[in-house]
Amino acid sequence: MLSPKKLKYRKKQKGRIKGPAVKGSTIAFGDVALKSLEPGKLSAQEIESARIAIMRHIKRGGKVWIRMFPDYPTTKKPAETRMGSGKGAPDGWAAPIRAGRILYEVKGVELEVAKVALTRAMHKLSVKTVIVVKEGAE
Amino acid sequence: MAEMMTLSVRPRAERGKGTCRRMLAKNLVPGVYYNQKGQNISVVVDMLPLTKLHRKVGSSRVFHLEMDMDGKAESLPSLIWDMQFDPLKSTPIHVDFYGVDLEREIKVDVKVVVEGKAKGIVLGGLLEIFRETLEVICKPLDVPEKIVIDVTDLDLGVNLHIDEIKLPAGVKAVYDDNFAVVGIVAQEAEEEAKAAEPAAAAAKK
Repeated sequence: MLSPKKLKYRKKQKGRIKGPAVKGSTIAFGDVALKSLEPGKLSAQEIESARIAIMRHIKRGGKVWIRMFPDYPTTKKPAETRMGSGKGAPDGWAAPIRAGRILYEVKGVELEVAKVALTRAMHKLSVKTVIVVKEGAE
Repeated sequence: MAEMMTLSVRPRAERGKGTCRRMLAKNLVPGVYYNQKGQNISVVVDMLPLTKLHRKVGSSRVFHLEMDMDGKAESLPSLIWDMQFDPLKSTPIHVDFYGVDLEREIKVDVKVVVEGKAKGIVLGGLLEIFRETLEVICKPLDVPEKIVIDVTDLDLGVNLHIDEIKLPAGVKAVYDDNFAVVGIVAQEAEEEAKAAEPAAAAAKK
């Protein structure tokens, strides 16, 4: 799974994800892409799970780009713990996503195959997404 | 060259994000027209004709921009110089029109289109287009719709460089380094298949 190589601070404040994506909202590498329609935090697990779904469908051939990186540490309190007593222990990583962000890009496979692969990835993600095709690739 | 397309625009007096947002709500796109003489006019254009025109001419082909200037209709040869899109809806939110002089050369980016099935692909390679567009210099009416590159003879691991690409008459490519435009690269090993094998074996046990 994706995670940063080193970190400066173990825990981060939650923050709010406001507004549409300022950057990373256009297809840069592939022909077909998955675009988020709402903001959210995608965990490293779901990013990996969606990647596997794409790779398993396109099999050999083609290239996949992941246009996000889970660099936001998430925390979790132990089970059956009363509230309070500080923030929980680091639990994993997440990628904060703004609405309109391109998440995955695919190239080198038939358009229909890429669309099915991205539909499978779509089901693994916790944000609403849409498949977008690069102009001229249809 | 095919007949030039036309697009009607109207000059606008209102400026600012509030007015622009109200225009967008009415399916109108705010924009600006400028040229080398220093003219700079704020304009407004209907979204649908603009989208259709952009799909056909892109950012490299000249069209006639029809505009009322000082009470008389004028037809100005122009290019779509820049276009901003809404990140969610992918609809245009602002457009720049650049008025061109048909006798002066301009620098534009032209789309690269690949044709033919390369030898390298038959051997299991993957076609990689390193440059989606090429910067060329030519007169506005000579700008090609696309640059077609025939890759039939391209072998695995071989790249086609900019100096090897045949361009139409009157069109010159702009470059300092002789960069690769397209190439056939070997496919990456299927990591997924390797990773899945031990997992599947463990599941069977």
